[in-house]
Amino acid sequence: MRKRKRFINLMAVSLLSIGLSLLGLLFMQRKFFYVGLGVMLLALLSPWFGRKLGRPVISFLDGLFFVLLRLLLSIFYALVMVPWGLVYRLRSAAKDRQHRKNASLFHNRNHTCVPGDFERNW
Amino acid sequence: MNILGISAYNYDASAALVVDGNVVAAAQEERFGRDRLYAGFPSRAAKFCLDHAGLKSADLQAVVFYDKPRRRFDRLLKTQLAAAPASFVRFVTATPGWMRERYFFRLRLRTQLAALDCGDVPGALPLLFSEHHISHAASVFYPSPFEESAILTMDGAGEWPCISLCKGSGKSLQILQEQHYPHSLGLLYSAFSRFLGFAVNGGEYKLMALSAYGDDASPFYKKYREAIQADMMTIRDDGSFALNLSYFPLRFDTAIFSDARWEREFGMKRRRPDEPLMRRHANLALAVQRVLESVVVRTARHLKRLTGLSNLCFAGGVAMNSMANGRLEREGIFDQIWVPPAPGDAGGAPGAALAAYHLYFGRERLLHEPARAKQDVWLGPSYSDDDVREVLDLHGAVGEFLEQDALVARTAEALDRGEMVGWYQGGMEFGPRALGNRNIFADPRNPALQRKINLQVKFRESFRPLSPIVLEEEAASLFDNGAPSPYMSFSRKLRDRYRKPLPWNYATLTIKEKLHTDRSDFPAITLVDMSARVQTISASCNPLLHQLISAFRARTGCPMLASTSFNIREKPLVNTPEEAYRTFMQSGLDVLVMGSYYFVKSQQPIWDLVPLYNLE
Repeated sequence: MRKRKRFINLMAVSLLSIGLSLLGLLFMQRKFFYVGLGVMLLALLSPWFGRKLGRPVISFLDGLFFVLLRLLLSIFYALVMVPWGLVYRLRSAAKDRQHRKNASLFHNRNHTCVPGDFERNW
Repeated sequence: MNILGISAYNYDASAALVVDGNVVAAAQEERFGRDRLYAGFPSRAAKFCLDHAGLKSADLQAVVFYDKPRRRFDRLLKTQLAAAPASFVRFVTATPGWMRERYFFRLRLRTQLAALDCGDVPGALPLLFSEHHISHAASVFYPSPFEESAILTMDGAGEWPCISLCKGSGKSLQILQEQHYPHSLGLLYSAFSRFLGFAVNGGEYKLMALSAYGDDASPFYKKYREAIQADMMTIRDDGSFALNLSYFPLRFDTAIFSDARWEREFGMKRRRPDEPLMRRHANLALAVQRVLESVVVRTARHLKRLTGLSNLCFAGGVAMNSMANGRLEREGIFDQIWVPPAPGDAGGAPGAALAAYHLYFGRERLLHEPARAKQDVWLGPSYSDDDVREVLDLHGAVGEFLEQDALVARTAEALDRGEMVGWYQGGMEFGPRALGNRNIFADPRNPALQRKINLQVKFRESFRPLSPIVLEEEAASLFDNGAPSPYMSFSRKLRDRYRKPLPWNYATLTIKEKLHTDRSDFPAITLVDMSARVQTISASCNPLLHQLISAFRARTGCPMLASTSFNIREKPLVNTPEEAYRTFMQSGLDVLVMGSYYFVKSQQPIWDLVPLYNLE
């Protein structure tokens, strides 16, 4: 468990140092690259430092992921779900009218269970 | 052939092990973690099942999950679609969880299985998935004594179906018709449960108990019933129905009903859990109970017409409603009705495993004798007298070791004195009810005991009923139907000769006044509507308990005991001897009979404990 936590912290610190290195490359600032390398080396040598730096990085990434995911989902909802939903509702309404005509609201299935039914999780 | 069935991530997670077509072990996770109706993965229950049979996961031929996670995900997604754009908030907040729980499910299940301490999961071990309602249907049909039967499953929601009409013949299962989400009887009942201040998935039985206090001659009852049947839903003659979704914002909200709309409709405020129960609450509970019964009866008639069969197997959460089951029995649509001990989601675990055994692996079905089928309930952990001895040593408890005859005689004597007895024997029950091995017993003739057990032992509402546990051979003389009811599945009426005349204004009395009215010769088990949720016991299925009730009858002439589950409010049934002893010491129980040991409260060392609750 401790090994796993240390690995996660190191991964977080690696991400931070890669980010700093990329920034260095982007703005042609060599000191960013050295800072990133130094942070990585310190985290490798000192688990305490890795922990201290890893935790806030993880929290930050968690927050960023939380926000980005919801942002992406919002865009997906607006662009895909809303128009698709309107079509789906129109189709469902047509089916409902048919059901009303047929009186019963049960769906006929008439399916005898076969081995193949168990292999799919959908 | 060894198959592990898993029911998880909904409510009441459980695991069951099927060996060569027989369920050899089954348990709900809540009993191990003490978290009632636990909804995660049943790790400890699965480990118990494997340990019980001396197996490792490498010895399994398959692990079967009790529903189709991706089909459920599909339902969740399409439900959001149908409500777009009103479902925006729900979609954005809930989708990440659904993706994790439902979409990448195989990986999740393998990780959970590998985390069990029973060894690595072989890569080749098949992970199978049974449809939710097929799991329910298999859980009731395969252990039943019927070669051929109509099968009705009704619950809150499976993947899409909320009601399935099936037919079982030999080892084959056929789904004939279905009713799909969101038009669900289970959800309708749960919504009323929430409106009346009880919990969803766990408070529905309180709603059922409360309905007995309603008055069907009251104009308010008629108004409520009319509102439910005419405004909130459309019911067809064949039992199919459609909910009016403007009352049920299920698709775009986490709430299952709209507060303002309902309060306007019924002319009453939503009841908070700590508010007192009034007659109007009971009348509303009765109205929804009658609507549920009417749908169940109509659907059963339709299923009878479809299949032409004379036996019915009934499962799913709605089958836990013993009043509806009793009504179904009284209607006489089917000759015999079989309801399993765990009709809800917990029963999905053995159901899925049995379905895979017969339908996936194609193994033949061995028809159970009725007496054998009745024993498929004490499938949980059991503890020896040595384990009880350890508890004695640990707590300095004072318990007397007695031979069986002496144990039974002493217990019957204590019951006759009006004492409340904790009864802890053999394997733990699988399913929500205590059925003879983890019970609290009392004298059903004693008018004070229902209140005393509810308030001093179980620490719960005083209107909650106790159930009669009666000798099978005597059931017909006491109740209107004497057919075996081994799993406490049916509510039956007490025969007239045991009833007492009621006051002329009985219907207009308050809940409390009705509760305290002397109604019958067995006041501790008789509900205010003269019904009782009956469990019958035969000598072949539980000889020790049969002997105890027989001894009580020999002393008193009364062939039954008042019974309730051995637990306290909001806690699951006791599992270990340690839990049983703790519950005994922290509640108002007078006597505890655990294995061959007999404990008397007054002889125990003083526990410096604050009482768990004080409801007086």
